[in-house]
Amino acid sequence: MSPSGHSPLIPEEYARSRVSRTAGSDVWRDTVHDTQDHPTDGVVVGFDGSEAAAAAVEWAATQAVRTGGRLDLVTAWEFPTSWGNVIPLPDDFDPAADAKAMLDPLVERIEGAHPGLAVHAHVIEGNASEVLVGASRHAALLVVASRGHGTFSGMMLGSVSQHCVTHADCPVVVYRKPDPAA
Amino acid sequence: MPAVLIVVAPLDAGDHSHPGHPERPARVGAAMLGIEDLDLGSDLVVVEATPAPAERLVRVHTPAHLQRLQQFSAAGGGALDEDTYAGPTSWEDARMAAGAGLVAIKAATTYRAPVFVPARPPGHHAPADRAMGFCLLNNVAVAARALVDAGQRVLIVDWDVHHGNGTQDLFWDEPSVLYVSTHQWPCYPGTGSATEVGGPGARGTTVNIPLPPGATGDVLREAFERIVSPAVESFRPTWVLVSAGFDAHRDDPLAELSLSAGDFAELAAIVAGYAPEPGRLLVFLEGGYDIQALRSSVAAALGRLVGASGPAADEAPTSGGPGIEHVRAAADRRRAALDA
Repeated sequence: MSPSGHSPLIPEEYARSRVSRTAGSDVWRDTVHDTQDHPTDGVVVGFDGSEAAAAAVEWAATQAVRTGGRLDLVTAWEFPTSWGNVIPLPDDFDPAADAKAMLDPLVERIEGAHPGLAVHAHVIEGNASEVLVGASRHAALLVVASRGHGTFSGMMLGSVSQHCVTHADCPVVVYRKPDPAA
Repeated sequence: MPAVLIVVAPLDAGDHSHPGHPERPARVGAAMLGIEDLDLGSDLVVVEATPAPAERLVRVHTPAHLQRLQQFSAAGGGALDEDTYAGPTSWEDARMAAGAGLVAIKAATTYRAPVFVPARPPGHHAPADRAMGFCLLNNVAVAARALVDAGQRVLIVDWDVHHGNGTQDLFWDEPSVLYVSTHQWPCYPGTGSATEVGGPGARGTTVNIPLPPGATGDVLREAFERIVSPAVESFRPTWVLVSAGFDAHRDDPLAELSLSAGDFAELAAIVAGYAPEPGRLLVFLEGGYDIQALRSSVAAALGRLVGASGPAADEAPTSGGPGIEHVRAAADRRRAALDA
């Protein structure tokens, strides 16, 4: 551990607020300084609370089972700013807590659907694109949701998806929920 | 239950096109329709491609070729030779096609499953220093070189109807690559004699089997049994890459071999048997210029790899055409060249 208190193994840009809920537990703990909880060798999936992202998470879970790895759900959050200035926020504004509350039922649903699958959830402060690329640094697969439909059509990627595809070291799947009308 | 098939995101390179040219964006669309015909559902995983990094490209191509191609595209493109064109986006399209193979390596490792790379422009005619035969960068060679650099032994099976002169050149003296090509002869590009067996540092690691016009699937099966399989057994590859052109199909307008979609299924099965495990097999789209034949042949070949079938299952393997004697002669000539 360096004198600054941050592990030299965790890039400083990610050594901010980072809490994680590990497999089989419902307790969130500070994981900034815990190098043992670095997502590795599994499937990392981004979750932003949307239906599309929830579908991507469920699909990513099947891929983790298929490839024999763990599943890491990652939600990123940032304090909202306006033109680089921090804007006044309500006293009870707690995006990290909101993110955890959003993830908890999803984690429980995934664990219930896939007994034996190691499911880990992480709430990390930072830009979503950069957080996902960082979280997948040692992953076997990164999954991000697309807002589009169909498997091969509509190849327009959103900014987060595009950034992940361009910068992730591992293969990236931009998951598009199959169109039920197809 | 089909095994999973990984596809690196279809790269139709829609802006890389030229009026009336047979190497056109619709080819990738046809390949993807073939995959859709297999109705794989959740057994199909589509992974995004990324451009090949410069450090990977220079392991295959000369910096001068890369720079010329980039500048040519930036200037608006045009004819690179009498067959090969480039447009304003072609440099980026070619980088994506080459990069797709590198992503395929990782995806195959993750899933322990075969990967199909439906990318264009194709690559196997491109040697180190130029574009040629519709090809700008040698996609299969970029992937193969990355694997060799990682200590792997790579078998490249090139069943495109045209000899893959670019790939042969690039690995002529590379003992860690076994290059195998079946192709029509005489035919573009005019290389690929059975006596071309590899350079002084890699003698025996090039296998060429020229075939006459009208050759049917049984001739290729004979070629693989008599010549290819013994060479592969001796070489012991750790990875298998396929330059999968589908222009040997009887309906293809650019050549005169007589294969059916069912023959490509048979070839896929043979080649899959060379891989030490399913996750060590990458299939790269090369040629194939009849849209319906391409669709049915891709479906047949990939379907065989993963245990699925589509409408193309009705196109039975072929037999009875010329070429059995040519295969035997090629075996003799190869043996003589190796003994010389």
